[in-house]
Amino acid sequence: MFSIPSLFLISLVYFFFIIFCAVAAKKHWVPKSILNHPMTFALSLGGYTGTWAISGALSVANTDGYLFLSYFFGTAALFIFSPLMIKPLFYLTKRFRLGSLADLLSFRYKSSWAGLIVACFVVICVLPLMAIQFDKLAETAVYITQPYPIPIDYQQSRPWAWFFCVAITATALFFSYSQVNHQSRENGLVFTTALQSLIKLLCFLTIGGMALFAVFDGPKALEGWLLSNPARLYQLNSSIISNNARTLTIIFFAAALAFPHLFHLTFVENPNKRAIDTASWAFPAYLLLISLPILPILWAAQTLGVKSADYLFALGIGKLLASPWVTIAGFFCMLSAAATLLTIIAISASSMFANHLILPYLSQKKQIDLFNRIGLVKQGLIIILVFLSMVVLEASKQMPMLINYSFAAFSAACQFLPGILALLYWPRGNRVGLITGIVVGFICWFISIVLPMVSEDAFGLMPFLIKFFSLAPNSYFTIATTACLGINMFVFGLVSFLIKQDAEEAYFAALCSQDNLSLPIRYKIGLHKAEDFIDKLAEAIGLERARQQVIQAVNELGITLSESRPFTLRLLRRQLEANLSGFYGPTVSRQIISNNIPYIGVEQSHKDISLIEQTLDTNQKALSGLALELDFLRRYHRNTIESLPVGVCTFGKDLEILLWNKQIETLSNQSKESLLGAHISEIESPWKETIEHFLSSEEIIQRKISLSFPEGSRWFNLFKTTQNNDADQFIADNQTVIIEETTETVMLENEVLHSERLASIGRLAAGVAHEIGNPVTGIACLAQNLVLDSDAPEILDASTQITEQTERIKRILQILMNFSHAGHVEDDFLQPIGLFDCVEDAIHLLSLENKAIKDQVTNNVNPDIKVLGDAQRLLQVFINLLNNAIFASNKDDPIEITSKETQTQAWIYLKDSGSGIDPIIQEKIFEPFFTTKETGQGTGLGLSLVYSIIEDHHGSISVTSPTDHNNNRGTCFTLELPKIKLDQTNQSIHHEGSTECHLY
Amino acid sequence: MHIHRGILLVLVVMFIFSPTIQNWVSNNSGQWYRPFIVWAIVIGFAYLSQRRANRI
Repeated sequence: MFSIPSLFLISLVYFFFIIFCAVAAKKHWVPKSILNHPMTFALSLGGYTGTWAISGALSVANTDGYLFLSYFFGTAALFIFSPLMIKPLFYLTKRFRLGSLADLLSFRYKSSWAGLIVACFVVICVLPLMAIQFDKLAETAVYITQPYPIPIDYQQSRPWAWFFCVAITATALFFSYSQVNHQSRENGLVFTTALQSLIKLLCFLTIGGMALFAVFDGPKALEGWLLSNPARLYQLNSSIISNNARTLTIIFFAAALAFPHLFHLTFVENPNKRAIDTASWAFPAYLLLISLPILPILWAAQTLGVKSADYLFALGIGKLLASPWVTIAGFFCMLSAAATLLTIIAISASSMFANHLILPYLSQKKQIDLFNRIGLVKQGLIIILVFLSMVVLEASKQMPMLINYSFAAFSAACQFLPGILALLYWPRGNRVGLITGIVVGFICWFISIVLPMVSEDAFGLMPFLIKFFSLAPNSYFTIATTACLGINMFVFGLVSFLIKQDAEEAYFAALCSQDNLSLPIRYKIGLHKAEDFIDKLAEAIGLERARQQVIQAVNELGITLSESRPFTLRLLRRQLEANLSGFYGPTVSRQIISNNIPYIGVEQSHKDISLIEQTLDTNQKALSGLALELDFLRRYHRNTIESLPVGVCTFGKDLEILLWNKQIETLSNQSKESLLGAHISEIESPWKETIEHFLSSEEIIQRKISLSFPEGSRWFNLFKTTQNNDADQFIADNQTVIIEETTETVMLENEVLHSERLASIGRLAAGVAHEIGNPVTGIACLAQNLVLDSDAPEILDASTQITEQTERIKRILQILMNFSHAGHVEDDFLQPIGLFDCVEDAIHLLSLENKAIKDQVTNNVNPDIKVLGDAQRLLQVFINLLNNAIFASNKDDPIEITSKETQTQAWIYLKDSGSGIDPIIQEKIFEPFFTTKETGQGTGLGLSLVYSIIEDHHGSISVTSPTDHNNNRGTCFTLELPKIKLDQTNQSIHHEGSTECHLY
Repeated sequence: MHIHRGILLVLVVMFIFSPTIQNWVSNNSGQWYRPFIVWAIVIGFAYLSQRRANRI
């Protein structure tokens, strides 16, 4: 026997113990391995099973046998088949920070009204459930503190009910305060709930064990007792044969998902997916364990002849066995069950109500700082909610059928099932359908279930319905619930078919739908950088908080504040909305985001390919069957495009980059990661201008586009797909540009053209030289005759000048003739030439004009190197090259000619320390008539002649400048010539009649 | 629609065998804990399928 003060003290100690455990979890006095263990989470779900799982189940087992298992089966089925509902909802709630059923439905159906209506109806559902917890807990306290047997009167239990009301309100306020300030699981709610669930389970198993071993002497004795009392087994089985069991299982399945406390524990307090996986079997196992002692306790109480209401049988056993431990275990069972359920309902329902009723109202008033009011609003609502449940309890005491209140609550919760199912599996369902369905369903529920509870015959309605539909009276409530659900579904479906959803709702429907990855819309945001979000958001939630939120969202997405890609900015907007939803609920969060960071220029045809790709890439594991095969196919095609040797890029109509393959990454030197989802303006020059111009032009092919890069010019062919508006909208949405590099081909073509030009200039020069040569010869003859015909000094002087100028013209003409005949020298006329001698001759000739040259130029060519060539023309080569070197060098700058050789080739290097040749003009120096000298000082034919002579000798010439990179001076001409061969030597011997033989 | 094949299989098996299971469970001369045995088997299946899913 426990006195009232002792039980009061025990209860107080219990509540303080819970608070202490929460603080211990918060302060990390409890190891993290325990706090974050999936089993802790699975145990915390036991908080869902309130006093109904103990006292209610005993009562149902007493009257309807196995029917009590429907509650446990329905709830367990939700988790056993977690991939059907729990897991998809988990992804959604975690991704978009949705904290309640109202949040979820409001988010999916894009309707604040849907959220408000659901929140109101959920509160209607939970109030009776809360009331019954207080009632049963208070009755338990009275039962324990009063002598046995005692008829329980509400007058006796009322003070206890109000005491527990205050204690539980205080506990809920403590957790709510912690939650608002931490915004995380660190408030210890999961840990304390898990602990209380464990206490509840252990206590109930203890009572069950006492019933089995102390009353029946073990399982075999119980079997023997049942054999001697076959009516008990018959009574057990009678109910599951009826259809009530299945219907009730479905009702409890749906209700488990709709009630805010299980939703809160499963989706808000859940740490990760691993915890859900564990809960998928551990929570059903918990339910199995807690339901296991019910029948032994029931039969033990019947055997002992416990004189009390059936829902108090567990306590009655302790009383009759005179075991205070069993009695107090029964009390703890009820206390932990009621305390956890009430605390979590108070927290979750108040949060839901705040998000959908109070905060949207407050957010209209701009002068109110929402963030600082959230905690206050939620705590106020907790007090109101608990108080309201006590009002319901007080009112219900005036009505005889309180036991049905809990059933009515479960029945009402079923009305949310169509909305939840459509959320996951029926994207066409719309907000009007949802609201209409729920309202109609609740009206039917009120008429067919609530009214009969208020009045025995429900004002004649219940008998009428039973008679009209020929119903069995004991299955009236289950059939009525099914009928309400059916009407709700029908209305929802019908209205959804009749009314078309708008684009935004369709987008969110696709986002939530399990089988729908259908082309989300690519909205435009009027901001250009991530940091711009701070200022915009600051208008609603203050600068500092806006900065915190944006930085948090930016970090979560792994981007920076300078991010400017439209695709990423859209993701950032969505992330911000989700994060704010965690504070304000989806309605206010959406309102804040829509008002401050609105979408602009919404066009249906802009599909967010980048988002689809990203979603498919991250959710590949979730795909199976045909979807998986299609994803493989997508990856195969994607890899094919990625590995093409031509650059491929795709642009949306809004010029957002949707595809950027590897080759174009190489060509543009910009990675796919930095460009995908970005606007075309993010591409660097010259590609940006080129592609923009190409996309805006009507041409579908542009050939040989020359682009300048630091390393030089490169050429490309551009192709693009034509837009076909009649085709699939998906395809018509974008334009593909293919870029093929043709630099090598163009270079080759240019080389051929260059050679051709040189040849044509040669032919022209020959013709011109020939035509000019004849009159010049005539002029020279006439000038010489003039000397003979006159003695006048002026005439003699003029004649001499004419002769000199004609000689000059002849020299130029000779050079031109030589150039023009360059390609026509027959190999048969070539002779073995010593390159050393050739260079020596060139130096000697040049020194006739300037003696200093001999000292300036050093000939280090190997005297043994011989080539087959024309001595005069090779001499011309060296004279021209040395002339240029001397021209470019200072007087004291050395000029050196060296050589290198292999068995077949010889290289002559002519190095000077002169001013060097500009890299830009290096390509042109071998072109005819190209000169850097002033007009009249050079013909521009010197190096082109050198080029053609060396080519005639089957050699090549190249230039390197500067050779001295530090001073940016010096030039080196490299001549490569084939060395003489033995048979060529013999040939030349034949021509020259010499007996000298040169071997290499 | 993406539904785990395992779940479909279990639902089909439950549908096919539910009359048999119900008869077995509701046999008046049977043990009272028979529903719990069925339940435990389903939980065992859920445990195995969860382990398998995690391995994949």
